Amino acid sequence: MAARTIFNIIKVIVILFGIGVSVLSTIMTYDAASLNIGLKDAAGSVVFTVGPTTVDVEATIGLEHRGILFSFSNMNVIVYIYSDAVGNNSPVALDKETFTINPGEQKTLTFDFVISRAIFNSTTEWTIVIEVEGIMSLMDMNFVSFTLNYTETF
Amino acid sequence: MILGVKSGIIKFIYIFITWGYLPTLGNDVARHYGIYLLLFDKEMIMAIGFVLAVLAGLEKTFEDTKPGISGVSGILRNVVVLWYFFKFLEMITLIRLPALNINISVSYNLIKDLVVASIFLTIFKHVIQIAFSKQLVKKPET
Repeated sequence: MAARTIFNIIKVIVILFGIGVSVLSTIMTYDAASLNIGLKDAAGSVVFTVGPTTVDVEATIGLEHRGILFSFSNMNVIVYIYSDAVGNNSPVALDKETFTINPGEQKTLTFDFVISRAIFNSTTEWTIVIEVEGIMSLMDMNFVSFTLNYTETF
Repeated sequence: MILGVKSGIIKFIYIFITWGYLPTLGNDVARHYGIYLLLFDKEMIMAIGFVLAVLAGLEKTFEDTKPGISGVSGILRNVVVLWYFFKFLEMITLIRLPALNINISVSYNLIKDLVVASIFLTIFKHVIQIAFSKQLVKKPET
């Protein structure tokens, strides 16, 4: 009788723990799919302002977290600009932003770069690489960390 | 005993559908959209699903009458599940979406530990089931 009771208690704990983990995994998947990063818009929104010796470049990225539980914390967004005149090994410019986004929040990130006029004039093809590094966390606990790369050439 | 066999067959069908048949549908959909490639082919997924279903069926059939056999089946099933889970993680660590020019690499930290803990807790439950198998046999009601 005692063995049966202990076994039933363990069985209930296993079931409850399993349900808890499944619920957390499901919500986490939903939250991951609910982060909307406007990468394509960002690559399309790059504005070049040509000056006498330099060119100012501005790119804007919109973020929206439509999830319900997990936060994306310590998110690093790095935007690299490559020119075919220089080669794809070293970027001609890069800018970085770090932020945390909670469920229901929206953010807009603006990246500013300065490129030399000589490189701008000799470039025929630009490549924008947007790298996002982040952690999905709940109450400061790191559930999943990820790195996302988006590349657009124009 | 007949009731146990019936429950075992139901469990077998349920596990085979959820672990053997449904993942192959997901595999087909994923391949159709070129989202990612599974580590296993369709036949392998079905075979693993079948093994899991047989073990789950045995586990359920002998749950009340022969808890020792049920416990051993349960442990074997969870060992396969653990191995399958790590293979699955390996598969979804690097996700490539070439149509969208996006690559995602994921590191599963606490969520992986929680799932592994859940599997080990289930194995522990089956160890208890084997250890107390004589006491856990259900006496037929008179």
